[in-house]
Amino acid sequence: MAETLAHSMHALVIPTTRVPLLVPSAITAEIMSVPKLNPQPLSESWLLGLAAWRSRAVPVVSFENLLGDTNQPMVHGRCKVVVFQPLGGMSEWDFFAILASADPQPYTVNSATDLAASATPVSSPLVSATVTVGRTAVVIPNMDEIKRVLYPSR
Amino acid sequence: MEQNIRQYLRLTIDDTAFLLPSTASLAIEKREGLSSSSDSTLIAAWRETSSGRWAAYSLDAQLRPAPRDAWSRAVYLSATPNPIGLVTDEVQLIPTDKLQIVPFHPPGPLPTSIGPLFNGAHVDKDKVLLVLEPNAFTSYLIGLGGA
Repeated sequence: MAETLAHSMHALVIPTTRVPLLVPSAITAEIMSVPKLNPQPLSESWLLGLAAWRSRAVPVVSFENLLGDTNQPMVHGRCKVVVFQPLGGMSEWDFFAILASADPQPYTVNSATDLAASATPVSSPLVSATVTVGRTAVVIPNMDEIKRVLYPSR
Repeated sequence: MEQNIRQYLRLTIDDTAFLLPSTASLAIEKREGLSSSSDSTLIAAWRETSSGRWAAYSLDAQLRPAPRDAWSRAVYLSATPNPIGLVTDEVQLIPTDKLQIVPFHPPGPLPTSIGPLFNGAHVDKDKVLLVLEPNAFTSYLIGLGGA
């Protein structure tokens, strides 16, 4: 029998060129068109640039490159940027963003069966689980590990 | 970040600009007052002083060593045993009240043992100007060697 969640959870499916992400909507702050990406010298390949957002400099990262892809994703007109709330333990202004290859889609998780394990899991410390949404495999990112990679000294 | 900074230097390298607290600058020298370097890949010029010569590094917009010819001034920061500098295309003094500096933590591994190269940003519409952290930037320049 399906395990029923006490409350449904509003989530977002964020498409990338590698595999979509499934994240709670509550940890996101805004979805927007791709802004000007300002370079940050001496940065890692997964950092696509810095966006000016709400008078802050917000790092925009490629989840594909975080997973180890060597080619940076192509930024085109359908791409979006999803701004995330600061990661745990970071300062209140430390927003970061992930590049989406198309519009993120809302998804409501009502029961644990909605998140059946995928037969083709993505193996990476940055991935907590690979599940299916409909017939699509999506990954639930490990935000603690993402923080460790983005901010190893904090 | 220092709270009592009244002015920043806007340092332009190629088409990219950085901000440096003016209090971090020991001296700004015109190109004509410097000796050219035989190894222009890393060090563009030297300032000759009675106590020794001060290197001025040539970096590109990514702050990587690169020979450049279109520079006009060298900005020097305090360092041991001698001050250490960076050549720039242009230097402008900007009062703090003309800027909106906000804290910024650059993502990624630390490039120096002191910490990140940047500790703030000025955001103007869609442009981001990064603020150099003087101690870390000095450490970075020293780490390039050659001086």
